[in-house]
Amino acid sequence: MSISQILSGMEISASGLSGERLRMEVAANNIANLNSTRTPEGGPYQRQRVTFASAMNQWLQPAKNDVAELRGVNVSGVTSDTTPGPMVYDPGHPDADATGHVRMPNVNLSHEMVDMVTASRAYEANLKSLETFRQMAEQALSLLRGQR
Amino acid sequence: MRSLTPQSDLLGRLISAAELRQRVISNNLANVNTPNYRRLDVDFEKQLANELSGVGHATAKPEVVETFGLTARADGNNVDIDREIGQMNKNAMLQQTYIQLLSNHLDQMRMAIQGS
Repeated sequence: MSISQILSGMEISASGLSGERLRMEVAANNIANLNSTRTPEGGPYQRQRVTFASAMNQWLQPAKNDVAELRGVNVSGVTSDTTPGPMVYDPGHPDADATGHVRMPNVNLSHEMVDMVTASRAYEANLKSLETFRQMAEQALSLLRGQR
Repeated sequence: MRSLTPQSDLLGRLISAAELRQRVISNNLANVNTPNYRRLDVDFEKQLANELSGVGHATAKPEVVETFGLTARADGNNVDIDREIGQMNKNAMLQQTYIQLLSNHLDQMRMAIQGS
């Protein structure tokens, strides 16, 4: 196992870390926009969601033991959830329609909280595997130093 | 690749298999939220046991394989984060053991060379 392989192993964990951090950021952005009824595109804010794709789909069919193709995770995109949000009766609101109802964003606070907790747990797991990589590399290097 | 002695050769192969498994497990962990991702593992020890007992004549080679028989979540992903962490700790411990054995072996060789 060469040094560059150890580094690419760390890149697998790093891809997971950055993916989970993005999920965290998107959840925080959704919560921040819990009450935004105006967006540059018009209409209320739409909940954003992150979708992941494994960075080795092309790899599963042919040579299974080609390890160079283990690349962690890719963020395949941040998409908008287009389900309509709830209508809230608030005649004083500047965005209220003729009947006095306002279309609120489709962000569900508890949903976002669950997303945030799972993202944070997955982040921790990736961090743990990064740490294990480091320990293993250190162990292997201790052979070179001629001590245990 | 042949090393100095059969022992160090064997330990070297076990260490690189453990390092490959660590890469595979971190790949599983990075994909814990990827829909339809299937958990991967490394198959080496069973093959090696066959090779050493002389059942098969093939040289054992670490292979990345899918794990079957796990229950998938609603999104088609079957990675269990706790299981992965457990496997990762076990694997790191094994790698440490192999390194320790190899280190002892090298110490012995060094002692034999120096004659003290």
